[in-house]
Amino acid sequence: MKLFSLSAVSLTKEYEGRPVFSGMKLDVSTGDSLAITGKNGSGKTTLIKILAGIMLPSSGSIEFRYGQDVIEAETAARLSGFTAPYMNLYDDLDGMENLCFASATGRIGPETEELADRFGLTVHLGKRVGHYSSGMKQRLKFIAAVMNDPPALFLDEPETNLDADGKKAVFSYIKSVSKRMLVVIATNDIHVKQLCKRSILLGG
Amino acid sequence: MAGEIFRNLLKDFRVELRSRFAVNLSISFAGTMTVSIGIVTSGVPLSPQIISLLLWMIFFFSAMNGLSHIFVREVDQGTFMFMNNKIGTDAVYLSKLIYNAVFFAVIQVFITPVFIFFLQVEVKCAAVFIATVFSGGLAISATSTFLAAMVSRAGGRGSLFTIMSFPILIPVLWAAINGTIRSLENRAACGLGNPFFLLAFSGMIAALSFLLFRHVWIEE
Repeated sequence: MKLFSLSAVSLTKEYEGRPVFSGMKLDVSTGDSLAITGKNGSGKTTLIKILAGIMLPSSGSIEFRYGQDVIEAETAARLSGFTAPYMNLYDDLDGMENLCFASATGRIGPETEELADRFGLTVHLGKRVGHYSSGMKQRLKFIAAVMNDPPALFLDEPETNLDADGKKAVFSYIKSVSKRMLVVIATNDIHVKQLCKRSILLGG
Repeated sequence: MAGEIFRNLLKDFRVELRSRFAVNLSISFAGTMTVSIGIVTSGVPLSPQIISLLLWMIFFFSAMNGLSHIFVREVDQGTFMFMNNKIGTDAVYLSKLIYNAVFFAVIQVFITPVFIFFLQVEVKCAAVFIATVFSGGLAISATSTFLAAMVSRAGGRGSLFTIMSFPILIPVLWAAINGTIRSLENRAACGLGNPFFLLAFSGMIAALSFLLFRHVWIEE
């Protein structure tokens, strides 16, 4: 198994001249689990997007490593699993078609079918996502994030819209993979925070 | 990358076939325009210049109605982050370019015979006419794809797309109209100069867009 790590130095993000955070230093690698916490507007979402390689910082740098290789942010983003409340699936496609799109091979394997079963979505995969409830969409997004067995998971408020069963399934999955993956979660939920080995508080 | 291009293309065609938003918009505009012009000018002989101008005006505004949706839809519906997480930036651009080229070629296949029928157009040099129509369509698609990515990140999208496209598409429209005039006027005078220019223009715009696309598309 290849190790995935990221090392951020002097990370700063500004919106229209107003700093969201500045001079941030962070090192995380496979087996680490990090919770990013903070008040609304403290920059949790911005930070997790930058760490996931899908947004550029205003200044500072991040070095992503996969095995022995230094990889580009874009490659890191594609290797990683990412889910967030503001990331939408394709409403005009059904659940299965969304998962096929998300699959690196374009097909669904038995592991994904097992995940769908674990998250209670097997019977709903033939329905259009536009007809899903928000909780079902969140479950499907979570499956899409983890289905390619990524080396790193970046989860922005993964508990959003989930009922008790959904939260239980997501939390137990995070627990089961946190030793072999790098897991970064932006959250204010105390139960999610407790799943992580470390936490940082933004804007505090 | 080929697998990613194929997955993204398949997804875009499925979404369009189910929503039919862009195709309805483009075809209804083109159909209404063609039939209206046909009714108004019935019995009046039109010069090849006027016919060519009308044909490319219809193509241009159909493209403006339909081609921006390929990126605007991803941003408006909040799906672009899902796509960016699963498909590489280069594959996103290439799949969207192929989609727009195929989409616009289909629109042209629908519009052109209707236009020829309603305006009773006599094509003197069919090979050059067809080559000009499709190479012009490719040039419009190549230009529109990159501009659609730019305007999808900005406000006031509909008007911005048309305003930005027009100056860049002037050489395309000039060559396309010229090529069409020649194919309608005289079999002996028509050549493949204009279609070649349009293909070269498409290649240049596509290559430049491929190099610049990540700077437009990756969130800052």
